[in-house]
Amino acid sequence: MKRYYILLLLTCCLIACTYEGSNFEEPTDFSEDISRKRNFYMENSIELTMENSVIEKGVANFNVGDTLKLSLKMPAIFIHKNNEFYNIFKSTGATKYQYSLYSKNSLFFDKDIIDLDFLENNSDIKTLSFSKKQIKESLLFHELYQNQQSIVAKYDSKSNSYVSNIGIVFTQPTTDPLTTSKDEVIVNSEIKTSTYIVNRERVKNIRIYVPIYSKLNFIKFNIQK
Amino acid sequence: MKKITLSCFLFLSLVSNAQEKFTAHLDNPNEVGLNLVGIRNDNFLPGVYYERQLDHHFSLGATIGYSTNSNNSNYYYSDEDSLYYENDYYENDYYDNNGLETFNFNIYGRYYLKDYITESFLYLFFDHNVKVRYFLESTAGMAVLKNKFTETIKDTNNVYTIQRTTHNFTDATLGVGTGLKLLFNRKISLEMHGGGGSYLFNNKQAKSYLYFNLGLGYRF
Repeated sequence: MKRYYILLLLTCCLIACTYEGSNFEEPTDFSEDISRKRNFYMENSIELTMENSVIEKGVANFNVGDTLKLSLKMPAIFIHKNNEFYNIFKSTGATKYQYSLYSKNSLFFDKDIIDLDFLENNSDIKTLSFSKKQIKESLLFHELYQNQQSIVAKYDSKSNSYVSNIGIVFTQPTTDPLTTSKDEVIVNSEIKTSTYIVNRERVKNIRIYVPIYSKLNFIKFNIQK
Repeated sequence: MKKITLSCFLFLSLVSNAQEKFTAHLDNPNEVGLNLVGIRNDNFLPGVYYERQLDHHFSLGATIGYSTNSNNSNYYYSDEDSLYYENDYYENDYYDNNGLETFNFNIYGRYYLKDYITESFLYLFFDHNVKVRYFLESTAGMAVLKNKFTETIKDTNNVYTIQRTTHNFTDATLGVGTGLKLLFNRKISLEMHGGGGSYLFNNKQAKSYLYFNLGLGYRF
C-alpha cells in the first residue's frame, strides 16, 4: 500500500512539473498537418519598450505623478521563422490584440494604466486625478483606463499594425520600499508582460499568439515624492 | 367426477389462453414514425422512419435524419473577461472537429429477441396493454457532413493567410446497436435504440460515431 502511495505521489509531481512548463508553447510548424488546428504560435517576439525614462544602473527615476510610457507595436504582416510571412489581421479578423501586465507589488494597479492614444485624441481631459467613483461611472474613463489583465493593442490600418501606447501613472508607493526617506522611495518592482499577445475574440475562429519580449524586468523605480 | 372433469376443462382452457401468442407485430407489419430524438455524436438529427416486420424475429427499416442546425461547428468563444489566457481551458484545437452531420439516410435490419412481454414494472402502471420487446440492429447508410479545416493561402506577395474553410462531403456509414420497442394497445409504438458505428471513407474527421434515437410510431 505504501509503495502505491509513493508511486501516486511521484506521478502527481510529474504531472505538476509538466503543467508548470506548459505555459510557453512551441512555435507552430506549418509544414505539418494544421487542418485541425485553430491556435497558432508565432516564433519571433515583439517588444514592449519604455519610451521616456533614463535608466541609470538599472534604476529608472520618476516623480510621483509622472507617467511611465510603454509602447508596443506588432506588424499585421508578421514574420514567422524568419522566412514566412503571415497576415495576422486577415487571418484573425481581429481589430484588437490583448496582453497583460503584472507587477510584483502595488507599483501600479488596475486604474493607473491609461491609454495614451485615447488621451491624445481627447484634449478635454486635463487631469488624471479622478476619484474611483468618477472612473466607475463615466464611459469616457472606461475607455481611458485599461485593465492590466487585458491591455488592448488596436489595429491601425494606416501602418497595418497593432499598436498599444500606455502610460502608468506613478502614485505614492506604499509597499515593498527598500529604502525610505522623506524625499524618495526606491521600489523594487518587476513589470512583466504575459507570455503572449493574442486576439482573444475569435472573429474568424483562428487565434494567433505572438510572444512578447520585455526589457522591463528587473528594473527598479526611484520615485521622488 | 363431473366436477373434476369440469375443473380440468377450465384449467386447460386457461392454459391455452395463456399460451396464445401475441401477434400484433405480424397483424400490423408496417410501421411509420417520427424520430423525435436523433443524436449522432454532437449532432441533432430528428427525422422519420419506416419499418416492416418480415417475420416473428426479423424486420427491415429505413430512417431519414435531417439537421436544421447548420451552425453548431462555428464555435465562437469570447473570453473578454478571462484573466489568464495562457491557462484557458477552452482553448482546445480539436473542439469543433467532429464533423457536422446535416443529413443521413440509413437502412437497418433488426433481430427481435424472444416475444413481446409485459414487463413487471410496466404491468404496475399499464396492465397488459403495454408490451415490450428487445432487439439488436445493424445499420448501413450514407451521411452528408460539413466540416471546417484550417489551411494556409498564399497571396501574390508571398504572404500567407490562415483560414478555416468549410468542406461538404458525403460518406458511407456502418453501425450496430441495440434497443427496445414498447407497443401500446397494439398500434402505437415507442422505440429507443442506440449504438455505435463508423464513417467509412473520410479520414479528416471523427471516424466513428455514437448514436441514440427515440421514435414514436404507428403500426398498420
